[in-house]
This record gives sequence, C-alpha cells and structure tokens, in this order.
Amino acid sequence: MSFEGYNGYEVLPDGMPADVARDLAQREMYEQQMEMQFWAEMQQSQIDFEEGLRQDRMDYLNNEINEMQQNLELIDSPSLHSSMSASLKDYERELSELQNGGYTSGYSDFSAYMPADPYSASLYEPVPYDMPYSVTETDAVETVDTQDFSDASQSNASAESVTMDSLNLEDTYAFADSSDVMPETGDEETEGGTDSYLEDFDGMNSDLFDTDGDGVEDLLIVTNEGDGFTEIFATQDADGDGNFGDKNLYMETSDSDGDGIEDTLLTMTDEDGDGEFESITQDTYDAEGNLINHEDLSDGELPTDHEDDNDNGELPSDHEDNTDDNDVPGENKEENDDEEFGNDLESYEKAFEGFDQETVDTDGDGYAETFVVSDEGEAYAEVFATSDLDGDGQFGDQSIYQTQLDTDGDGFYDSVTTDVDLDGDGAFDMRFNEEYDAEGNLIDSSYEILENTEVPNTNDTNNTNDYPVNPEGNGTYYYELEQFDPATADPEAVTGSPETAMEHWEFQGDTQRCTVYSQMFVIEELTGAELDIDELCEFAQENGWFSEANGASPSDMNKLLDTYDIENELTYNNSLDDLEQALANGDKVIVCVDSDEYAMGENDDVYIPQDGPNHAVEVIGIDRTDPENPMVILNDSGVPNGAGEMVPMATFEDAWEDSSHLMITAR
Amino acid sequence: MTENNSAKFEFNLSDFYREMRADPFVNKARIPLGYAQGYPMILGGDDLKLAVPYLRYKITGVADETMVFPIRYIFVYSIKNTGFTGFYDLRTVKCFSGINYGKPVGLFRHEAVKNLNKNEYREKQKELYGAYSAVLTAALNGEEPDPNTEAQLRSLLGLLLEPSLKPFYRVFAPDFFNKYLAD
Repeated sequence: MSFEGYNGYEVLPDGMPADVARDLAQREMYEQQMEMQFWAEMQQSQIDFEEGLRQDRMDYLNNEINEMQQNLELIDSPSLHSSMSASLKDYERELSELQNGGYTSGYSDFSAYMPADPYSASLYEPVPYDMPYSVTETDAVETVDTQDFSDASQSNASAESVTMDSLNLEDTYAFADSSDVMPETGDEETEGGTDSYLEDFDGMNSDLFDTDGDGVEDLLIVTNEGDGFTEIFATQDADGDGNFGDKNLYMETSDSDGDGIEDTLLTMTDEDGDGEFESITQDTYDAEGNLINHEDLSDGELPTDHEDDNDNGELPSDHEDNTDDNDVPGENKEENDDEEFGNDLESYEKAFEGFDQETVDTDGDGYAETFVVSDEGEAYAEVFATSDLDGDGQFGDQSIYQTQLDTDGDGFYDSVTTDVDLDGDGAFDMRFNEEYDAEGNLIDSSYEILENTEVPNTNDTNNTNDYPVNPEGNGTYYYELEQFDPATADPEAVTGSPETAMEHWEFQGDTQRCTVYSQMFVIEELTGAELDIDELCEFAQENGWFSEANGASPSDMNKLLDTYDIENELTYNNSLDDLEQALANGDKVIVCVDSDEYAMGENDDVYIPQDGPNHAVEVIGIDRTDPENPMVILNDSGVPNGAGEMVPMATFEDAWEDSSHLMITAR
Repeated sequence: MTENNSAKFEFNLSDFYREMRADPFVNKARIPLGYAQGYPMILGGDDLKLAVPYLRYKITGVADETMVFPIRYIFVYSIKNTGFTGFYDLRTVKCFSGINYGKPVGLFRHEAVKNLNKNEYREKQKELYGAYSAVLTAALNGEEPDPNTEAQLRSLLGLLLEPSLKPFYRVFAPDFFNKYLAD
C-alpha cells in the first residue's frame, strides 16, 4: 500500500524493526493496522467537522435565545412581540432537537449534501454546484428589538377577486421563515381560528374572504411589502369548522438582479394542512416577465438563499438586513440597495418614515446639515443622526447611533452606547459605552475601536455571502459585471460576434453542467439547431464525458462538438493574442477558467490554497471600445447575468492562467 | 527538470505544477474541473518520485470556512525519468475507499494560517515550493540537501498543509511524513 516500501529503514515509524517488517505476514498485519487507523482518523475528522457545525449552531441559537428573551421584556408593540415570540419558539425547538442529537436544516447549509446519518453516506454523494454556502443562520427571522427602525411599510391586498385557487400573484416575498407564519396544528397557543391568525398577524395587512359564498369567511390573506420584496401568506378553512390552516400558501418575490423588477418567485404550498410545505418551487423571470428557470425544491428544505433573493442579485444576504435589524441606515443602504437608496435627505426621511425626525443646523450657518431620527419606548431610547458636512446635499459624512437603556427598571436611562462613523464610509469606527447613576452622574465609561465592519462584512454571520471588493485586487463580482451592449460598443472595436452569440446563452443554475452548456452554445451557433440541455447532459453522461455529480474534465470538453461533427482543436498554453485571433477568424471559443477570480470577488481572506480551473465558458468577443480597458465578453452559464458578461481583460487572464490557458476553437 | 550550465539538473516545482495541467497523462486521467493540486510528497527510491495529490476545495464566501475535501487522486511522477508512473483514484484503493469524498474533512484557513491573507499565503507557498525545488534538485544530482533548506521545507509545510489532510500523508508516504510533518 505504501509507495515507499520499507527499503532503507532500520526502524519503521511505529518502532517495528525492519527485519520483522520483511516478514510478509507481519508486514501485512502492520499495513492493515495502518489502514484501520487511517480510516478511523478520516471518519473521525468528518464526524468532528459535523459536530463542530452542530456546536456552532447550538452556540448561535443559545445566544439568540438569550438575547430574544431579554428583548421581549422591552418590546411594547404586540405585533413585534408576537413575531419575536414565534421566532423564539422556533429557535428553542431547533436547539432542543440539536441537543438531542438530531439534525436540523437550519444548522448547516452543508446539509444540502451531507446526509443525516454520516455512517450511511454513499461513497458517491452528489456534489452540488459550486455556489458559496453560508454556514450560518439562513432562516430569516424577524428579530426586532428595541433598537429596531424596521420598515413597517404595508401593502393593500386587493380582496374581491382573490381565491386560493386563483392566486396568481406576482409580487410576494417571504415572511422570514415559513414557520413564523404557520401556526402549528394543535399548538396550545393557537387554535387555528380566525382570531388566532389575526392576532398572529396583527399589524399587517390582512383580509378575509368568503370564497364559496356560504356566508362564512374561509380564506385569510396576509400581505407584507417592502423595498424590493413582497410576501403573501394565505390560509384556508376548507372544511368550514372555523379553523384555518386546512390549506396554506406562501409566496415571496424578490428582485435578485437589482433592476427594480421583482424577478424571482418562491411558492410554497401545504395542501394537507399539516403545517409542512409539500411543494416548493422557485421561478426566475427575465425583465420581460418570461420564465427562464423553474426549480422544484420540494425536498422540504427552503433554498439556501430564498429569503435573500431581494438583494440586488447579490449572493445570499439575510432578509432581516432589509428590515434594519439593529443596522444603521448607512450600513443598510450600502448592503442592500446601493443603487436605489441615495444619501440625500429625502432618502433618509423615507427610510425612517413613521419615526420622529428633524433636521438641525448645528453650526448656525443657515443650512440644516444634520438629520436626526429618534424612537423611544418603555425602558429604551435610540437616536440616529447623520450629517452633510460639506454641504453637497449628501448626508452620511459622519453618523452616530446612540441607544439608551434603563437596565435596572428604575425609570432612568443608565446605560448609553454610542457608535460613531467618523469617516463616512458607512461603518462605525468607534463605540463609547457609558453608565450613569439615578441622578444622571457618569459612573463608568469606556470606548473601543470597532472591527472593520465595512459593508458587506464577510464575518457578519447574518450576511455571509456578500463580501466586499478588494480595491487592491483584480477580482470582481459577477453581479457587478456589465453585459455587452451593442448599442454602446464601437463595432469596429469588437472582435467576435457577441450580439448573436448572447441569444443562445442559458443559465445553468445549481448544476455542474458548464462544460455541456458551453458546447451547446457553440453547437447552436454553428448549426442553427436548438438543443435540449437535459438530453445533451444525459447523452454526455452515458458516454462518460460528464456527470451531474462531478461535472467534466477538461479533456472531455469537446466531446459533444465531436459528436456533432464540428471541427475543433483543444490546446493549452495559448495567449490572449491566440484567442483574439481565433475570434477574428470567426471561430467559436471555449476556455477553462478559475471562475473565483472574476465571479466571486477577491476578498483577501477568502481563498483556497491552490488556484485551479473550475469552470468552462464560451468567449464570444473582445471589446476594445475603451482601449484603456479592454473587456473579454463571455457567455457564462454559471451566473444569472452571464449573457455577454464583460470581464476586464487582466482579470480574465488571471482566471484563464489557472487552466494553463486551455482553449477549444471550433468552426 | 532542466540542465544548468554546470551540467547539473534542476527541478522547479512551480514550473512542474504548471506544466502538469497540460500534460497528456494528467489529461487522460480526466480529473473533473474543480480539483486542485495539493502539496506533493517526496517518495524514496532510486528514481526519485513525487506524489502529487488532487483534492477539492469549496469556497463558502466566509473567511476561514472554505471547505477542504479528502484527497481523491494521486499522480506519481518520476523526476529522474521525467515521466508519470502512476495514477490513483483513491476511491479504488482499499485503504481509502471507505472515505466519503462528498463530505469535507476540515476548513481552511486552519489555525496556523488564519493571519495570512491570500497574498501572504501565496508568498509562503512560493517559499515552500522553492524549498521543495532545492531539496529535489539536490537529490536529483545525488547530493545531500542543505539542512537549512530541509528545515525550511519542514517548517513551511507544517504551516501551510491543512491538518485534516495529514493522515493521507502519513499513510501514503510515511517516510516523508516522519521527516517533514511528524511532530
């Protein structure tokens, strides 16, 4: 088994003398022992890894539960209290399950491919598509607390024409975790009756309908709407016993690409009223409203990012970031809606609609440069202030956020925390902590330099899939990459035929099919045929050129081209000149790249030890309209905006280099 | 491997890794996209071999939570004969066949390198490759490697190699493990 053999040893690693090792039987026994030890170690590593995740999750839940229990005592609003109570129950349930050795979907995004029982794992577990995984809480929970400036905007649902069967709503969004809005059957705290549901959704838009005209209202619809999202929950009393929940529907929409049009629809149905969604589907639409992708997610698990789809096409971020859960608006707007949320006064006024607001001229120059918003409740007060110091009409030059708490319940604020953003980058730089006695005398103070909370924060466990562009790095993020626009490009400066090639682009979704898609694009462009990706994948798999579990190897990236009798060459060590020349000759080009270099950004703290190729794309053009910034145009099936995706040439070169410049040219 | 002006041979690991990706033998192995080369094991014997592991990583987007999967493929290359002599899919090797290759065995960055950003890690890696190259060049020319260089290799490999992968090295190349990775 060991490729070194035992020659040259006087004493083997474990002390076995060489002469003994030369005895075949003893050596075999030794090898077996080593094998068993290795097996045990590897399995233990994987078990430890899983247990580590479980423990992390339990720690997180414990912290959240403690915090929620404290905050519940301070909340006045019945609807917020109800919402938080529901979330608290969920957390407590999950914690209990984990403590009893169970596995819960919430504790690990790894659970998508890690089996519940580690000892029953198949050796050939399917490996999911290489999308970033969040290892933290993905059940968006409305954890509002006293420091919450949540947007409580509502929408009005049109009532008369809506029935359970005819629900075909375009604008929906998640009420955080579905379990928050699904009262348990038989739960002692809710009897499922109208009043129970209305109480649960107190503060939200709700409407009751009599869909069968028998004089009894049998359909309840609750809606909630905010920036970039809408959510609807509908529940029916189908048997007329006065209790709802016989059928439930939950829908959410989000604007995944940040173009202001909600393009992703998640639909979850509970047909048998058992409180579990049997059917979960996710549909993605283009800007014209055409369906471009349909996924059946009916394994009972919500997609890892379902509640995050509102975030401008960013990889998952937590819905609760949109609801401003203890986030300063300056952070919030940068995290979630940089393009749509301005720094002008009107934007701030809108963001804090419903709270006490004022603008103040603190320096007496006649310009009210400071915007102040405050909120006060039982035992707490909070103030946020942001200033336009340079008078350009854009606030956020400096901001502070202060909370005052009456921790001992004597009616006086005794604990004050003030966070300060001194440089206007949207991240608080320092925190001042002060304690006062009942007479208002300062009895203790401290300050701390806050960690770099540059938004998005890669270490923020609620926003784990957004990470900032490293200004010193060459990397980009796929959602920041522009798409080729023939209207703005100089046709004389473009090599290749990107405009026509883009028409053949498709999104591969959560699959390993990039090599098949790349070849499909080329085949369709050269033959005019319209191919079916599923059939192609099946054919490729049958021939051993591809597998759904593991994708394909570079050497098999042209096998489908061969099948269609398309002349092609697969070569290494090519140059950008070679590539551009191939395009100029009218060839179609497929390359192998390290997509992390351009599609996943380049945070200096997020990387793998060794670079290597992990993706196949079609190169459909090179655009030198801006000679200083030449762009390589791709049909990239791996990202939602991959049609005519424009990657800076230097970045592309970095990504291509990791495949030793593999290129397939076809004609 | 190159011959320098002194009629001695040189081996450069960085160059070898780059060239390896385009090697026909490696391509015939049909390693799926997404697998990357790991740190090699120097095997003993007269023809000086190098065992190059391939494994997957999976970025989650969170620092220090990039998943490390078990080593799945190993190529054996004879440096003296300048050719590959072996390829192993460890799923088919008895000792390793019980591993679940779909599950990670650890996370990167491990503790020892948590303070290294990508550029700093790459710098250390470059140094490590240099140490490998120096040791292999000496062996190729029938010379004893510089003890300082060996110490450097030991130190850097111990730093950069993910601890969860060490068992593979101990079983696959115990001599190399004892010399450069054992505590």
